[in-house]
Amino acid sequence: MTKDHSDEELLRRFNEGDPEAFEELVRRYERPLYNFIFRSVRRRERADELLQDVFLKVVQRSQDFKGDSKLSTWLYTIARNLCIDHSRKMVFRRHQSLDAPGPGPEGGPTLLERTAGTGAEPDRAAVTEDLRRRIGEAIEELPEEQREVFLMRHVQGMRFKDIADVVGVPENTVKSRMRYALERLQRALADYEDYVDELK
Amino acid sequence: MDCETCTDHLVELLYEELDEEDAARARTHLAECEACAASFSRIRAGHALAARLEQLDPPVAVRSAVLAAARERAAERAPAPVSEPEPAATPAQPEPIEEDGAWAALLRWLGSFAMRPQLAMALSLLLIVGLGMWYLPALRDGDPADLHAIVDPAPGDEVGPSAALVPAEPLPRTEPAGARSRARDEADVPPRGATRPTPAALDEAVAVAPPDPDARERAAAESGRAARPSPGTSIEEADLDPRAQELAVAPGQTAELRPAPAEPQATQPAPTAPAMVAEDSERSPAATTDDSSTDRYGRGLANYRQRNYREAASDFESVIERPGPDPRLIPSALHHLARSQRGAGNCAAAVRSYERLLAQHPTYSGSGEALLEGAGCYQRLGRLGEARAWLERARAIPSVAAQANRMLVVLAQQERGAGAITVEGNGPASSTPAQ
Repeated sequence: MTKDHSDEELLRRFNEGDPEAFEELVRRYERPLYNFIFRSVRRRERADELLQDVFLKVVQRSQDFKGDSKLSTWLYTIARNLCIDHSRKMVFRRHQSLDAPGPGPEGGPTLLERTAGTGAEPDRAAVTEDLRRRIGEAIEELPEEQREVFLMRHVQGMRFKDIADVVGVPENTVKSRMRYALERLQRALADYEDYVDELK
Repeated sequence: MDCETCTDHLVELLYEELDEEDAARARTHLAECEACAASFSRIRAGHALAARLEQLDPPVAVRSAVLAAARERAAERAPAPVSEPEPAATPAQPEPIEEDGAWAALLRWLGSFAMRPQLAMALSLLLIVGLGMWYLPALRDGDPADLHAIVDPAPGDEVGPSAALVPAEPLPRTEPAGARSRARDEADVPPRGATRPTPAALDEAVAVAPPDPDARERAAAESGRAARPSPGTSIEEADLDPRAQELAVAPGQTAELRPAPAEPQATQPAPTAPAMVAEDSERSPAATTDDSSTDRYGRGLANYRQRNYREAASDFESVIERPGPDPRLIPSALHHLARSQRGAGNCAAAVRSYERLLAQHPTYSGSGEALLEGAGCYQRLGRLGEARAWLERARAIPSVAAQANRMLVVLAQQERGAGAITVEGNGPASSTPAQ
């Protein structure tokens, strides 16, 4: 029944004491938000925590949401702010990370491990896996302002106008960033274009 | 359409956000302009490549923790149940016309406060204080020695209850559950010769309980008697300690106490009304006056984020010890406790927490990550054998298998460096992780 309600209606019902409404909201947003956060912070452990933070903030502040904008805009504003805070801390920590805990679950293989060939012709699954990894890397290498726009559009399917509300820049700037991001991805992954065309 | 306008519209055209008229113009321009067509081709190729991006699923543990917090918050926000059973419980009104009168409205308004936990707490406190006050004249009339005992501290004492009021032997009465019981445990005066309670504990006890242990016992005894439907039986008298029996009030005084409606709720959490009481029991004083487990959990996360690992560990420990009505936060809190300890550099404590997490919550969805992190701690402690065992376990979990393999490679190098590696004849390729 809750599936038919708008995001804003679900939040209103949660504010009135209906936990099922919030569960539906979590169901709708946890995956895209998680991917948005993960591609921003690049570590699963951090992404887990930040996703939890986003929803906990919504739980705690849901009554502050006035409905002037879309709920998705609010959610991504929270997520983006948390990611920015995290990035700032990471810049600071790079200078003191010698005794930091070891790399987490998404530390990633070394370049040597990635490029070490087996000598045999790579099969299709291996290429697909390699492509996925390369796409992830290419997205992580995008400039931050392009990456966030790309992720909001690509992962969440947000309209450019809503993305502009989250990021706080004009809509045309958002569209330019998106275009630059796509062009960069095309350049970074040009080796795989033929392969992707074959898969279509 | 010129090139500049067309370029502005390219991504909208790609994502079909352009209205039909502008889209047609842009397509016409693209058919005529090679530069714009090449640009569009590039971003379309980038879009096609990006479509192969793997979408990750968030861990179930996050959802569980979030939903537990949401349920707790929703329960706080849910409107107080309308007292539906009230008309059925009370006899029918003889004059229905009064339903609409000012008196009925006033009753309804007063009734709306009836089951509010804050009001119940205030009434309980008032009752307890009232009982204490009520006993003072009884003591004066009954035994002057007891009056002096209250006023004069015991020899050698500066503050605190008189030794005359300390029971000579443990009282047989069972303690009521809840915060009052806890406060009482902390403030109870030990037998003679033992260390006296701290002033803080006494303050806390005074805030919620009668001022001295005996008076509390008497109050509990009296209120327990008043709460029972058939007072005066030998059983309830036998429950009272001898001092309380000596101080038993006159029948007239007892009769004054019995009609008090809030007394049974104040003395024991016995079930009275169906749904409302269930809800009230969830909102026990301990739950409402203390931070909720969600708040403590959120504070722990914030501290963890700020790298205040010791404070974070303390917060998560409190969530584990006092999880509130919904214990589903416990596995996540335990996991974060381990991470906090690891962050604080206390790997030994961290591995204990990881072990506890994996032992007590074998189905915890973040167990793969916990195994990896715990293995990392073992590595840092130089316990390479245990690190290897945990990584081997992690390899069986698909979501972390790849990372476990990578860590095994590093571990094998570490083992070689330490000269600790032993070739296992039939072992699972100790230095060559499975792909």
